Amino acid sequence: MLSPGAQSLRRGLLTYGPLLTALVVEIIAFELIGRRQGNPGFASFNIMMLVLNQSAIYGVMAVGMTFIIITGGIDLSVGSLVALCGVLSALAVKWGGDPVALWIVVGWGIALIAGTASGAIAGLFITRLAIPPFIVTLALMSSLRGLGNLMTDGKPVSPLPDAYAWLGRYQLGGTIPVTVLIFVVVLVVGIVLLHYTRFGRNVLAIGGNEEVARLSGIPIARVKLWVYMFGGFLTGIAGIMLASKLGSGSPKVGVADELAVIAAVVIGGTSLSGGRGSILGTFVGLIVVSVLNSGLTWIGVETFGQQVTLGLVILAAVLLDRLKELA
Amino acid sequence: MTRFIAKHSPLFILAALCLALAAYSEVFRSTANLQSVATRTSEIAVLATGVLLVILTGGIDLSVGSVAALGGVLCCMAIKALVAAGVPDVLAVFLGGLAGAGVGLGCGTLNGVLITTGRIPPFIVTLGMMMAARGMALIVSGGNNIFGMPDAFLWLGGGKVWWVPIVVTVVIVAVASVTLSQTRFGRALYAIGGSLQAARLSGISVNGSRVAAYALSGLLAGFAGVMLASRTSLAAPAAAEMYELEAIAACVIGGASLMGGEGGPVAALAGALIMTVLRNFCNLQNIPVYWQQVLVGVLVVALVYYDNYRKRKAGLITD
Repeated sequence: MLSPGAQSLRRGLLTYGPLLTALVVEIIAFELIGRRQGNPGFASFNIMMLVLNQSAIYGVMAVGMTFIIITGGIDLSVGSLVALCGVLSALAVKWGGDPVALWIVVGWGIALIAGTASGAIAGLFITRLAIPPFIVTLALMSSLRGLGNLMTDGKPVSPLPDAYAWLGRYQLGGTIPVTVLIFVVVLVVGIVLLHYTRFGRNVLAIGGNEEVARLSGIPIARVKLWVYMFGGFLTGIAGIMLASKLGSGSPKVGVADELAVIAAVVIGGTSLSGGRGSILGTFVGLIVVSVLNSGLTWIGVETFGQQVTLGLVILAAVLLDRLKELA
Repeated sequence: MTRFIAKHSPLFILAALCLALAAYSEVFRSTANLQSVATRTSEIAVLATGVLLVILTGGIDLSVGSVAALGGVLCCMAIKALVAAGVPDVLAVFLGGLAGAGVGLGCGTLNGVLITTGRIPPFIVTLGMMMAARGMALIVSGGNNIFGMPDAFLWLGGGKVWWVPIVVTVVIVAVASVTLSQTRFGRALYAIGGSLQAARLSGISVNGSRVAAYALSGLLAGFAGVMLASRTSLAAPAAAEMYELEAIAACVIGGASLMGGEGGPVAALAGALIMTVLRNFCNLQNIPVYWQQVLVGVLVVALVYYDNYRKRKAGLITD
């Protein structure tokens, strides 16, 4: 009989073992190939911080998506919503003028409200009208993309004052980007919310078996509504981060982001049929893909080849996960 | 009667929509416009028919758009290579078409095997295939469009006689419809979607049927890619982007349930037509593309809600 500590360590290793192995193998492989090409240094703090920085925006969306997928739902609208929220935050600054700092904060507020509202609309249609999440969010994906384009006539909102790009580009002490800090905070909030609160247990219970959850008195509609609103809110944050990083609010960004985000969540071990998943898993899944992307660029694989490799690796990662279940 | 209308509501919605638009707009009811609507629906309808087979089993196929692009690119490259090698045009076109559909069949079979034998969720397998097939299309074509096709290639897409793609689509939908309602394979797909466990226990070859569904979806996707290439007389590696979502939306507007076990090819065709008709009407009224994106979203939800509502009223679904 193992002690509780050893048991939880064992469970952790079983859960994240394959993904962590894949991560380490990736980093070592890219470092070795890079050295052979006379380009060492992939396995360094700076590159890993770059990877984190590049994953931050996806990561914030992926935390919300993890909750949604655990309830057995899905959100295809995040790619369009991230663009719309970015556009809104930029428009506020453009129309507001002086003082810039005030209007930047107002823009953040508007973006967050819009994101939450979109999540609320999705949640209400799904819970009150009993329309499948896939359909509701597919429709939102199309509508929100159209709205973003209508607001800006299809053109990016720019130029914007330099201060607008602070959030997306500033690095604390010259090493730690603000976006990474936000990502870490969102991760921690997500972990606490999912694994240490009644709300999180309700979310897991609904995904596990909705009928049983209903019979045990969980307010299903309300929990689901909150989950979609939380997802929309986080997408609002991601939209602000993205627009700030780009220095403009473009209605064209984020196309197919929903698929990348969902892929990260599922690679991280969250089941698409609901009831099972973790925020930490999503994080590791995201980093595995992100390291792969950066690594392929590092060793000079062109974009077309990257798509093929990425597709294959996603399959391999999930296949590995299945083998673990069989063992 | 209520029950009949509820069961076939997509067809009635389509008919009502067409009548209303035809009464309102002279341009809409012109022969040229109706021809163009029908021709443009053909590829989406063929894709939707394939995706429907998969949706019936409770699965999903996100790869059809990319597979269509890959099929079109390989078909056109094969034709050009064969013509350059001195093969007669007609034979080259035929072989090229086979190559395009064949690569689709290969991709689909691979999807099916990974999903059943590898036990990976369909969403992930086909998402991976979506990236991989798009990447392959870009790699083999070097990222360039392929054009300068022989004249014989234009037949399939209606470049010679306008109704060819429409007849091809109708035949495919009809064959799918008969197969689904009259054959053991068709009933197996509905049974699997209803309950995989029950289907297995009643002796249906569950994995075999599922692999066949994905393989056929791939085959039809490859063929749709060939049709698209033929209609536009070029193969673009970036073609058919996001078509997977249009095809899925067509199935769902046609009343298919993403949980599986419910839906039909004729209704999916109606779903595809509803979307094209709406887009076409927006274009005729000079409604900007951006508004169309908003409208399509709103209408998808409205139609699915209406469909659910009618069915519930007629007692076809209970929950």
